Amino acid sequence: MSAPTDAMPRSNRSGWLTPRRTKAILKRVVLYLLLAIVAFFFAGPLYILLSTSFKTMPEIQAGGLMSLPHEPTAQAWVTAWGEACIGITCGGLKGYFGNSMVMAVPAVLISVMIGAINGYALAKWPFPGARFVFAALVAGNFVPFQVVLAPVSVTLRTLGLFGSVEGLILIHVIYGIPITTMLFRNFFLSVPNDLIKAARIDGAGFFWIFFRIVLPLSPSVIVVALILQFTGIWNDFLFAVSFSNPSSAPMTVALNNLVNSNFGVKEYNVHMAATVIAAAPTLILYILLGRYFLRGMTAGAVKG
Amino acid sequence: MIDIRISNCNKNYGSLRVLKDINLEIERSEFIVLLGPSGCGKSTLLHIVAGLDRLSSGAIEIGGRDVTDVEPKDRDIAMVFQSYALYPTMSVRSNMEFGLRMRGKPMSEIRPLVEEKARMLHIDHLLDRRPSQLSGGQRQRVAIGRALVRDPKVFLFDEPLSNLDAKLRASMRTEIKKLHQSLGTTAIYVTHDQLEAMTLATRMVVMKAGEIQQVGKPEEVYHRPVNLFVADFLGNPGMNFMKGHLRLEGGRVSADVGAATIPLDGYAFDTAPTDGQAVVVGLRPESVQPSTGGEPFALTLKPTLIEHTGSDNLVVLAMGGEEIVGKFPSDMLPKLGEPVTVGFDLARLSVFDAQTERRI
Repeated sequence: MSAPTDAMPRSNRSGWLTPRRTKAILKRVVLYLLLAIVAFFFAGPLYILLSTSFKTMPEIQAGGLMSLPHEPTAQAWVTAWGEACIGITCGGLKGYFGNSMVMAVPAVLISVMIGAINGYALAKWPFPGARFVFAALVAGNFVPFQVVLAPVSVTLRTLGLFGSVEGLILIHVIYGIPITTMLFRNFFLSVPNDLIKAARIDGAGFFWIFFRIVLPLSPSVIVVALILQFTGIWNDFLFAVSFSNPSSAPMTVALNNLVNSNFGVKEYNVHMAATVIAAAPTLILYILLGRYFLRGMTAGAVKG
Repeated sequence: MIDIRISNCNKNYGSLRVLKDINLEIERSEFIVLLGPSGCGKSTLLHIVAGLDRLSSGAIEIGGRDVTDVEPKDRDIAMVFQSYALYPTMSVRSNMEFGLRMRGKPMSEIRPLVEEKARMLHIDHLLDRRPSQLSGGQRQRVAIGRALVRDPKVFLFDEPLSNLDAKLRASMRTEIKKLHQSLGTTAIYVTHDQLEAMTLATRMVVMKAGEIQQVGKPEEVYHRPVNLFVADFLGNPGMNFMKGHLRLEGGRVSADVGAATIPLDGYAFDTAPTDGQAVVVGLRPESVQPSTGGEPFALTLKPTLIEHTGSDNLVVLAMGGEEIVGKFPSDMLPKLGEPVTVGFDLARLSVFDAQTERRI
């Protein structure tokens, strides 16, 4: 941001603090103050998380929440990753981190793929009842997950998937389809119909057109779908806590069990390190793909 | 030999009848132009021939084969779109190769074919570029090239020049004409631009509200329009219309249009005229010329407005309570308000029944 040069018209050079100039400066001050508060609001907890995770327990117990660690140590990280006791096992988070990865990656890829194909079919290959199907899918976005817990539980038991990572993948795929379908369908509406027609005349079929022509046009919306789905599935707690068992529990459940454990001293430094580990994948994904994310969110608005 | 036969073709969207019982036979090597105002169904008809739209009833034959239920890719057609519809993520070369690759042709055959057609269209230096790096005219060449390499039985053009500026449009028009003359491939071309229609068509089809109004050679449709709509739609400036009544006296027919009585002795009636019949007499502006003294029919009229187009002067003349337009040569510049004598080219007259609006 450059200085507000327009607040310094040449005719006002004589008086330094003209009313107009004072007003402009005030506006700026208020603006930066607000921004600083918001930035602090979001960055503050992260700062506390990181600084506490590098402290020793005695230092934490001595107080000084906002201070930087005097003798930084990664011990809490090592404990959180490989040694902390979660429930009755003391192997740290690494197993659960693995569970989360094994669950989230396939669930994200499958739900994004299905959403893309659905959206493509709904947007570009209108069939009788397409509007009803789309309306039903949109409605699916508004079903509160609490409502479906019992039926899903019964379904997973019937399928023999209850308590397994596969079961969680299935549920996340199913409940991811409405939002990914909607996302892709709305994006694909902006792909010119003439392209599809030209490709049909050229001899390409449904999937050829999808993979060779439509998908290459859509990197931004694919990234948006990937980030949305990954964040949602990685951070999900309700399905995870309801449908997993101790061996298949994802990060969120393990983190909760670790932090809310009632035995012994609360190891805040380990909890903080564990929290950062749990949040890291979504953060890293966003940092890597964030610019595509922003581009994707505004693409429809600019292109028209 | 008939290449395309459209029989009793109907297309409805719900209760909206977009095409009403269309029948059309197209000979091999014809260049058919579908012309009409927007919403007349010409594009729908083209899409139906392409197989991109299904018809509600009727049949389409291409090359003697019933293709009514055949997929577009199996109809042996190629299409050029108004929006060019080039695949944006592919190079020009890939765009042109795409159709042949889809058909499983080996690359060893595709490469030289694409390069040959690219040279023909002067786009061989653009082969490795993306469509977004090309100008509108270049894009349309690529789109035409993509259709050419396929060597289809029929070319379909959907307003291919409408997105180009006037000058480019004229030169591309000429090129398409040359292309057709050298290849001789049957073509159907949709446009709302009458100049394109007149210059390109071997036969043109004028449509209105889902119905074919007239099919014929451009000059025939221009000079002998079958109804008032066609007469009015073609020509710029439009045809002069004079309302009046027929008079039959002593075996001679004439039209009383109020300000004058126009003799119709030489007029070839399609239907027998009746005395007192309400008619509209049509005459194109170029058939209203300054008199040289020798015309069988001339009137002296007052000019009320003159428009210079460069090549001609369009002179608006007061005739009774109405106005007619004459297309004068650019060196003939009458003065406003000073009566001029204009000759009517009676051989170019069109007479329509005022009720049915049909040519009589």
